[in-house]
Parts: sequence; structure tokens; C-alpha cells
Amino acid sequence: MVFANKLSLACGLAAAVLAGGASAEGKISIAQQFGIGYLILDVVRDQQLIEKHGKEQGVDIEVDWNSISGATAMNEALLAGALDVVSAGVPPMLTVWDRTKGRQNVKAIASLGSMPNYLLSNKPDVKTLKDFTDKDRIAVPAAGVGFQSRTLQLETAKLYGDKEFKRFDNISVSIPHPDATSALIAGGSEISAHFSSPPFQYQALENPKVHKVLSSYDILGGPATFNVLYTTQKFHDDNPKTYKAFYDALVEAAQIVKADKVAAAKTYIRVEKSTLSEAFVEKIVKDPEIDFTVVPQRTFIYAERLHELGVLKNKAQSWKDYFFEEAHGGEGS
Amino acid sequence: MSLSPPVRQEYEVTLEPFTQSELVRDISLPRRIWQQAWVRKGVILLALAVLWELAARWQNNDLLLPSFLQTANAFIEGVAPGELLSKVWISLTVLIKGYLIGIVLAFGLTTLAVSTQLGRDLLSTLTAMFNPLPAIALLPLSLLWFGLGENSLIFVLVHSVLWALALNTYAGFLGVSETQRMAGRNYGLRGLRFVWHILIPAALPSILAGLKIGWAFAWRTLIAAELVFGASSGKGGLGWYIFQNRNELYTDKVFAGLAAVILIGLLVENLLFNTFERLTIKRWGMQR
Repeated sequence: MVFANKLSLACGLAAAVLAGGASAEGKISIAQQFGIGYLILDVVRDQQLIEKHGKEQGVDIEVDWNSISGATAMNEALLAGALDVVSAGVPPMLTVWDRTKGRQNVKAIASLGSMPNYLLSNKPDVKTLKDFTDKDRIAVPAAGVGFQSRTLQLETAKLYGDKEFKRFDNISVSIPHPDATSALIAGGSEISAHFSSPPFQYQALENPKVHKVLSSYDILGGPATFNVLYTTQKFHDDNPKTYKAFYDALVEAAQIVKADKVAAAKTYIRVEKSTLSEAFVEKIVKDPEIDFTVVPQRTFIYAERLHELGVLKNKAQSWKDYFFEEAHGGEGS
Repeated sequence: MSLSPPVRQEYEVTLEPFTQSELVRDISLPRRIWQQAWVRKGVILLALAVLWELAARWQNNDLLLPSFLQTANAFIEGVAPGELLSKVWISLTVLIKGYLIGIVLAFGLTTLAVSTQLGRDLLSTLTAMFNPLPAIALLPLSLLWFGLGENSLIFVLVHSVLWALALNTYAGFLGVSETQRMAGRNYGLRGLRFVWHILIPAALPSILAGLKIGWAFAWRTLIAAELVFGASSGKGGLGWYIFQNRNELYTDKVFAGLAAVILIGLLVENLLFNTFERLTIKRWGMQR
């Protein structure tokens, strides 16, 4: 694989030289995951905003959209050079930033919106985190390392002390959201809790047996970014125009979503070919807790706490350390 | 007309006088060292390590390919606080449980097969059905039946050991010569005693081959199963260790986990199986 990379790089260089030193501008491959958290990208894709802003910059941009599930696959594709821009939760992005600092220098481009993630349970006697026993199993998409697990670790460290932050990892199980949601609603399996995400958590909560134990907003102290887009320093530096067109497209998409939430909900159903009802998606998009914005919110809590817990080796001075400078203008945190 | 055959002249070859050459010869020290198997194997390993180190330095990106020294360091750092060892221990206990159950079942099935006609048909049908089925493909089913945890892992392990071992053992039993069988009958051995005293010792080379294959299959299945899901992350074994470190982008620890898998494979092969072979089939002159 490594050799193939070098080879493809060499071929790419040779091609560039042959083409008369044309720069690599004009191409971007983006990967998104599934769920309402990627609504901004759906709007960008639906309205071809990258192409539009590319024309304003004077470049024709060819956009390649991919769907990948899970931060690990995203990170590997990014580091192997198969994708230019990938998206995942804040903690996985911080992990790549930490490991690639001084090498590929992976940094975040923009937030994809702030939304709460709920810890749900179908056991009536589980009201707080302290009510979980060894017999319970908490379903999360990626045990130990995903957004949900890391958020749970922050809360665990708060309750039981920093040394105990992995306490609930022992009862965490890696299960994709759709399976975990149906297991929780059906009951009868070991799965008694699920650290969910929109839209799955709202589907689960429609069942009277399921109740909310905790929200990621409670843990982080208010509205906080869920997903971010990130890329390598190399892509950012080599493609200034494409990068700017992409960033502008994101900003415009966020404005479009805020201006007409009904249309945004329809876009989501159309692009993702979702089977959810329009009223249901509309309710989520209109939820006052959810804010579709490219401005990062409360991401620094992760950077700070995860460094203190020893998960991250590098200490960030501010959120600007792990965001590219285009994002620095807003009132991020 | 008479044909006379050509007459060949007779002659005598005088042998050179016989001189006894020296029976004991001195081999130079380097050659004597080179004749030790472990030295040759060590040199191969060392060459591989040097190649690896050079490739990693040339690549100069320890996120994609950590160097040998970094991996060794990660391995020592993993072993010293006992984290890696405890993971190995978790994996091994599950593995041995599945392996032993698989062996018992395989011997039960083959004993049945050599003693009754129906048993023979049962074994041949079952092995034909299940041997090609990858054990890991049964994992989702096993999770449904046995829930998340050790039991579902043991189920897939038994599946991976059972058929390979049963097939080898049965083939070994069939290959036992009539002479040995008749010798056994002459002593009045029947049923289980016949299997234990005649068939098993006579078929030991193929049984051992089956045990080795079963062991390798079981290891592979276990690591793959743990990679797909760790029963629960706190109790996951070596596969889970590799998986989690991959998630956290600690490539050197991923390599350390892989090295642990390889080391255990080497230890079991060289210590366990080789010793057993030396004490049985090599001592009995059944295998070189």
C-alpha cells in the first residue's frame, strides 16, 4: 500500500509535469457518513454549491462524493490519500490531529452543526449514570474511541475521577446506530442502553419504554459541535482556490438551511433517500437544540480534557490550533 | 556357417590398498555454529528486522509503517504494565476452551464413525457441509444464540477446530494397516479400547497434523472474531487490542499486537507440538 502510494504520487507528479505544470486544483473528493448530522453536506451536494463557488474563483471543480461509515475508515482513507476531505465526530478528528501533528498535519475545516446526543435506556430504574451495573450493556457506534464513548468518558471522569474515565468502556459494545435502536426498542437483549445520535434517538424516544438518561449538552455544558470536516495540510496548501470554494459552499449551505428549514428537510430526504416521514425530519431540523452552523462550539473541552486524561499527547492552546485559519473568523470555541 | 561369438579377453583389476580414512573430522567453528538450526533461523529473523527498519526509515511515516525499533518499544511498553499480557491471557483462555471442546467432539464423532456405519455417514455428511463454511461467517448467528460474550466466541472456535480435526483423524484411522488392526483384535480389543490402544497411536501423525491445523484455524478465527466485535471492550482479547489501537491510530501498538500473535504461534509450534512429536511419533520411528 505504501509503495502504491509512492508510485501513484510519482505518477501524479509525472502527469503534472507533462501537463505543463498544471496545479492539482479543481478536484475534491469528500466522504460523509449517514444521518441528519450531515445535512449541510447534503445541501451542498444537492445545490452544487462547490461547483458554483469554484466558478466564482475561476476553477471548474470536479466533486466526488463518497459515503463511508465510521471514523476509522475515514481516517485511513484520508491518510492513504484516497480521500481529500472526510467527516467524523470531534474526538476522532482530535485523535488524527494529535497523531499527525508535525507530519501530515490533519486539521479541521469547519463544523457541520451542533446537536445533542442522548444516552437512552429502556430500564426504568436507570436514571443517572451511577445506576448502571456490570450487567448492563451500553451500545455505542465505536466502543472506547467514538464521539459517544469519549463524551461518556468525560462525564465518567467528572463523576469518578480522572483515573476511572474508562470505567464504562467495560460495558460498552460496538453496535451501529440502527441495530442498537431496534435492540433498545425491542428489549429482551443485553442491550439496556444506547448512546444515540439524531435522528435515531428521536425515533427511539417515540417508544414509551425508552427514556433519556443524559444528553451530550448536559456533559459539555451547552450546545456543542457534533461532526466536523477535516483534511490534511497538503490538500489545504496545494488547493487554495478549491479549498476556499468548499468552505464558502459550506457557509452558504448553513445559511440556506437556516433560512428555509422545511426545504432543508426535504433535501435531506431526497439526497439520502431516507424512509423517514417529512414531518419527522422537519421536527428535528426545527428543534431549537439543533443548530446547523459551520462555527465550532465547545470543541475545546474535548481537546483540553482528553489531553488531561492522556488520550491526546499534544496540548492545544486554543481551538484554533486544530482548525485551519479559514475557520478562525467566527466566534468558535 | 558357424558364428563364433567374439571372445572377450579376461583381465583382473587390482584394487588399491585400503586405507582407513579418519572417522572423526573437525569442522571449523563457524560451520559448526551455522549448523545449529536456531542460529540460521535467528539470522533470517535479524535480516527481516533490518529490512523492516530500513523500509520504515525510508518511508519516514510511522503512522503508516512504524519501524522495528518503535514496534519493539511499543511491545515492551505493552508487556511491562501487563496490559498486553492480560489481553493475551483473555484470548488464550477462550481459545483453549474452544479448542478442547472441539477436540473432544471431534474424537467422539470419529470414534462413532469408525465403529458404526451410520456414524461414518454422519461424519462424512457433516464435514462436507460444514468444513467449507468459514467460522467467522457463523459469528452473527452465534451472537443471536449465545448473546454477546465468551460463549458465542467458543461456539465459532469449536466450529473452526471440529471439522478440520475430525477429517484428519478419520483419514488417519482409515490408513491404519490391517496387520495392526488384526493384532488389536487378537488381544480382544473392541470399541473405545480398540480406538485408544490401536487406532490413535497408529494414526497419530495425521491426528497431530489435524491438531496443528485446528490450532491455527482457531487462532485465526478468534482474532478475526475479536476484530469484528470485542465481546465488550473491557474484556476483549488480543484482537480487540489490535482493533482499538487501530481506531486510536497507534500503528506501533497495532504492530505490537500482531507481533504477539506471531510470537504465540511460534511458541506453541516449537515448544508444545515439537516436544509432543519428539516424545511420540519421532520416538516411535513413525516420522523423521
